Amino acid sequence: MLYFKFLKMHFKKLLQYRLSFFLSLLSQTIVSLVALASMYFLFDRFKVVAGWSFSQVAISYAVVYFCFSFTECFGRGFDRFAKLIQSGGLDSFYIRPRSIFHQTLCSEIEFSKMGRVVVALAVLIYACAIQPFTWGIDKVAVLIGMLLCGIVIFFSLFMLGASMCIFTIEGLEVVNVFTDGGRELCQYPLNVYPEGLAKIFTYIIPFASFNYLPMMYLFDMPGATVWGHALAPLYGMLIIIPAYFIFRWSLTKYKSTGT
Amino acid sequence: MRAYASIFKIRFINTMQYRTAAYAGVITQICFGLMYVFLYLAFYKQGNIPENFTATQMVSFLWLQQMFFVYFFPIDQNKNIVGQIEQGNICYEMVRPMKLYNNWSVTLFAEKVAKTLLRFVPVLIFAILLPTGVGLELPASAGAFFLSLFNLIVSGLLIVAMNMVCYCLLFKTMSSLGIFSIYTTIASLLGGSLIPIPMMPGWIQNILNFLPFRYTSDLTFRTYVGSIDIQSALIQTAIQVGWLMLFVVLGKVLMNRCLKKVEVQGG
Repeated sequence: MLYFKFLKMHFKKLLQYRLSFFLSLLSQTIVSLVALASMYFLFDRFKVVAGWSFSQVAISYAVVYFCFSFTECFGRGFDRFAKLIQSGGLDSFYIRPRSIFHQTLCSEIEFSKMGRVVVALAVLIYACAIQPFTWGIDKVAVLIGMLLCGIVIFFSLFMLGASMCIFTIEGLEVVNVFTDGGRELCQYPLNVYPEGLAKIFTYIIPFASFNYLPMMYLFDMPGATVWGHALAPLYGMLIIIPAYFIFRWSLTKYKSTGT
Repeated sequence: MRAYASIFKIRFINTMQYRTAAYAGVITQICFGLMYVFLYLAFYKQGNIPENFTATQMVSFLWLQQMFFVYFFPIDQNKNIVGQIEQGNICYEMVRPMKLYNNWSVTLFAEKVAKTLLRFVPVLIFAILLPTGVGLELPASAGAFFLSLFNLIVSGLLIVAMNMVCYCLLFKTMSSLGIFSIYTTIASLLGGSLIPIPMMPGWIQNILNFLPFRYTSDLTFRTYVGSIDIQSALIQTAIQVGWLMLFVVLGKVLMNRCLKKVEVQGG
């Protein structure tokens, strides 16, 4: 498949600049470990927050870091769509016999983000291991659903940001409020925050669907149901449908910057 | 002196051009401010609140942090200066009849101030208008206000002086990749920008007193909210000024040593 050829190519490109790759890998790892350490300090003092313990919050931290960094790695082309428009690179995408979606996906892959993916995965495995309950097949399925859903949601946000770039030409800082902000917000189960804020991130941007809703099922919280909580990641993934069509529609409105 | 004043003016006016970036920054700061306020208030509901850091003080602290986010950012990665070091354009700077150390520090400080002036007022207005309990409160006392204002200025200079030492190290490594972001993360943690220092375990707080990082934002904001009483704030201000002088001397010495060794290849 063409995508894997690109994957290999990006990887080879990377190996040409080994030192800078390892340095950025190192810095990504330190960034995520420091975030975890500061969370540990808080729980050292306060023990629980809104009924969640450190080992439970560690799961939401690991899930959101995994999803965000994974998307940043493979969806980098959408994240840097403004550059593609400014340099005129997008113009050449239009004349090639592949979909623009496919070409954008292939245009950039940022492997250095894998440092954070690995740290997040390690934290996730550790946090799962120290949970007091035994893992049934249903809970493993919910956890995998959460990971997939998070990736799909962040990817959709990147795609919506890219669609906006077509009209604004410049990259929009406001998009970062949702992507980076979402990453920070979802480190904790969303019901830590006031109800209004939690509702916005349940129904408008469905962060809750890979965050506290399935987590309530995971930890057998009172009131957790299969339909409302365990299957929440499936509902959350639906955001990709409008996001994809908005992206397709915005491409029809593209005017070249004339470079 | 007049030359440095004009460099300050040029850099200041230059940075003031980037309004759109600043508006986006304001929105980001407000969103993050709200998020942190609610998050830490949720933690405070559990009890075991640090006795020198009440909920109201904590909330004001968080808003000050958002207002002065760019001002207290641990490192200003000035593309121009990094480029001069990495690509060798520094030779043009070296033939100018002024000290490179002063030139760069003034540039960094001017940009810092300009970026802050563009951002802090809207965040201030928003935070003041919020209801009591989630908004910014008035300073603990008139004394605390003026002392924190003094701390604010010294902090900016201290951060610039620390940055200058980092830039000197750049002469050795010749690549800013990774290093600046590692520095940012560690300085943010040790300076109390990730979580406020009073919430950290006691033994870490004791260590941090001996490091320069907390004598920037932590000291300034906690003097303002009254988490540090005036008397100890005065002592800590003295320590802050001490760190500033130490880093200026260190930076100048390092800079002189680096500049002696600079080799620029023709081209």
